Amino acid sequence: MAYQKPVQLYGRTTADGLANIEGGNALAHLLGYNGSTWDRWRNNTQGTLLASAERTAAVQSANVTNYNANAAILFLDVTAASGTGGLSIYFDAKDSVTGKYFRLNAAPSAIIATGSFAFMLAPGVSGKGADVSQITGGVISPVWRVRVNVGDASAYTYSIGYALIV
Amino acid sequence: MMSMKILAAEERATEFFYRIHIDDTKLIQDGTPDPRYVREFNWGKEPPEGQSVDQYLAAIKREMKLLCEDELRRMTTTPLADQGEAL
Repeated sequence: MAYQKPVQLYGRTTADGLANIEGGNALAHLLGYNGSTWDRWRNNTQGTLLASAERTAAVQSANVTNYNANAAILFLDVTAASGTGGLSIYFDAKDSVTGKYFRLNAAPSAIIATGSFAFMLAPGVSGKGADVSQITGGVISPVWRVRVNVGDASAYTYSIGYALIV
Repeated sequence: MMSMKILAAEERATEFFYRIHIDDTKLIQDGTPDPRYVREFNWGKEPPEGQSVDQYLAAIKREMKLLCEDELRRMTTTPLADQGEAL
């Protein structure tokens, strides 16, 4: 009879980047393999990319890690607008090899007034909602950010939130 | 009086990395920052068009401060006068 290595059960704390282990994991959560370690499987997630503040120059947000979402929505809330120049919002996908970023949406119409504006990037989208300024067919990348380009150095006060949709 | 502290700031191959203690009065028993009050940020290394690296790094710090202040606001709740009253 062949020797069989005993299977060991591990009680583990839920976390991202769990190392591969031999045996059974006593962990009632879905995990996704990222090529070297295991990450927690995400539901829809949301957060803040840029907090509300007056800005006069182009801005790039910090990177956002996307674990398993396909689609993303950006929520731009402009509370003060100079009315000139305008804000152009882009989804930027990061190339992990070079660190360069690639714009995933076409140049949108510049926002020059106060209000709430959404930008959507999702597979197979068509027909935008009333408050959606731009829809783009595509998928969101594992590491991405928002880029805000400006038409001039005038002041706009705004915030940008996001939702990642599985 | 609380303040925010940069725990780590590193230039990496493709990004600038920061770890921020968003309220330095929040510590765990061994005196290290409470992980619930620590945030990490990774930023692309190339500044937006027309900005120098120094201007970009200053802008990053400003944005992180704004984000951390926003986070603290979200973590704070204030009871309304209604609390405990019959509805």
